[in-house]
Amino acid sequence: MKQFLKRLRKDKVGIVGFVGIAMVIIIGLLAPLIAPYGPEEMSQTHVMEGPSKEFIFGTDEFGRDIFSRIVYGAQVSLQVGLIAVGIGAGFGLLFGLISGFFQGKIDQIIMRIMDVFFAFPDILLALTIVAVLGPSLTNTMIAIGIVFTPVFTRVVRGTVISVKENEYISNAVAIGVSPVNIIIKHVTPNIMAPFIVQVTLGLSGAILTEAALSFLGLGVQPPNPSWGVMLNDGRALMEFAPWTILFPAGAIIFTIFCFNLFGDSLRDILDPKLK
Amino acid sequence: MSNLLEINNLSIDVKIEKSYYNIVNRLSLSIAKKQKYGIVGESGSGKSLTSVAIMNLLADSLSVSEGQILFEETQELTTLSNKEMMKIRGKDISIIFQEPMTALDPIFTIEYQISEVLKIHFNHSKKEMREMIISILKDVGIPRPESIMKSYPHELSGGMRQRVVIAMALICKPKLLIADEPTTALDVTIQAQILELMNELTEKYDTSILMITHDLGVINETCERVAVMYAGEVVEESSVDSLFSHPKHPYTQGLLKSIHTLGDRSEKLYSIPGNVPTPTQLKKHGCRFASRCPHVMDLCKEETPPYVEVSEDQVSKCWLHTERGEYNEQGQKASVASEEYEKTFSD
Repeated sequence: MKQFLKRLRKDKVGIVGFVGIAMVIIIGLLAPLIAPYGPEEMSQTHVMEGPSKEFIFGTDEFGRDIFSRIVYGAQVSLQVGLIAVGIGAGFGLLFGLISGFFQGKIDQIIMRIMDVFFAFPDILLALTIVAVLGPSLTNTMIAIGIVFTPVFTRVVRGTVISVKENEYISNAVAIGVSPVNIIIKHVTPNIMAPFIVQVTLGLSGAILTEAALSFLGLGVQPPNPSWGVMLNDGRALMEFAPWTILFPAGAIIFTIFCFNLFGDSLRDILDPKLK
Repeated sequence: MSNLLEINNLSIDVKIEKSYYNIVNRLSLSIAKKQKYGIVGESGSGKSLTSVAIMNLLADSLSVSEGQILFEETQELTTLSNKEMMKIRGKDISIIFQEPMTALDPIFTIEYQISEVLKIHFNHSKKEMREMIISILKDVGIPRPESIMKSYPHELSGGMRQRVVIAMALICKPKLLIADEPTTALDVTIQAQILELMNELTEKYDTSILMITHDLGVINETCERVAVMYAGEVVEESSVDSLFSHPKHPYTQGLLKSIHTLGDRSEKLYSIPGNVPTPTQLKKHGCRFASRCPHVMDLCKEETPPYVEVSEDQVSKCWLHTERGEYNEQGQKASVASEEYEKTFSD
């Protein structure tokens, strides 16, 4: 862990990503303190106003402060990101461990099912699931979680298979450790590095997918402040009030960019070959 | 003296694309209590498989098709369930693997890894375990055990790690220690230390050793009896002294000839021509060594040779020692073979 922090400190790109993520998280957590207005607070005297001192990112067609909505939107994005990736990573870890450790028939069954999920484009699969479950924040998270499960399963399975070949695993078997304990104590901790990298990259993917689903009207429902919903709201006003779309898009790009930077640098840091 | 481990007619098959190929054929050997037994052979001769079979850890594609492995004359290891086997592994029989660099889990301290063995098999208090670990680390020759046990595997050298592995294998005072090429990955000076250490400790703990190696030097240093394996079969079984002074089987003779000794300035090293046949190349009948044997006769290719008791403590699986071998058209092979051998060695 100490070594990890030392290496992170040396990686400037990683720090930029890390600071950016930290900012988004702090903004999300402290939204009520930071946002000057409520996310759904309308002002009839200030409709579609450009950025000014009073409304630094301008207002939308209902006179809502875009800055405040973006700040509250960070909450939604982070929530979706964490819970959806939590679902995907959790199931992915479970399936990947079973698949990689036991191999054989069970591996075949799990991986073929995952292949079927892989065959669909992410958005299309998420759309289908949301369409079946009905559009809402919770269902969006479930859908994204399901969409992300196969990626995690593959990453975990591959790593498990390579970790399993190490002699400390045969050694553990040879001293009488039960298979379940071997998976929990010896395999799982040793696959964490690539898994954590995948989680970071998955977070950015989940946030993006949420924005896309909300934009298409199948994710978070208005008037909830989601960045994707805001993009959709601003779509028609783009020509008259570009700030309605510029700032939410900027927020999405910034967040994804930071997560990807951090994920990339994590991958470099945690790569055992570079140690 | 009663036997600690008795392997009777053990055959192991490998399944390749729905057909079975024999890779260990009717192997029999017995290890007495406190005995140091060696199995020597080339890569692919089935020696490691035998050790894995004793631990009942054969991979899914491998299966025991015949024979039994008796532990302490009562327990049939091939038929025990995984649960029963887990109680034996690490406690009564432990194994040391070849590669010390990866034998320890990189994320746990030495102390944790050794204590894991104790936790599985005994109910000691933390304090007792600590003391036991310190004393075993001292026994395997690790300086400052109190601080070393707090370190992680990557902080130790290969020799130190192998010592820790030995400590792990011996902490429950097992009755049998299987050492699968324990020194192959170490450099020569450390090799001798590790072998000596294993000798000392097994004597101290009354443990029998099954030493698996391709290095006859290791056998010479540690073992009392030895089985020479070739292509899944024991071709010669004898006391170490007899094997080195008068090897009988042509394969053993070849192996001994291939040893390179210091100061030997001959241009070329001796090598047995050809390779160990793969399981798919093996025939049902005939001697498995026939394709590489310098004394091969027609008979060898047709009929499987019997085990012949060539002397009181030496068994060899070769036609040369039988009457049929000697009355063969090429005549007097057996005596010629050993004379020839002795000549090359006295040179």
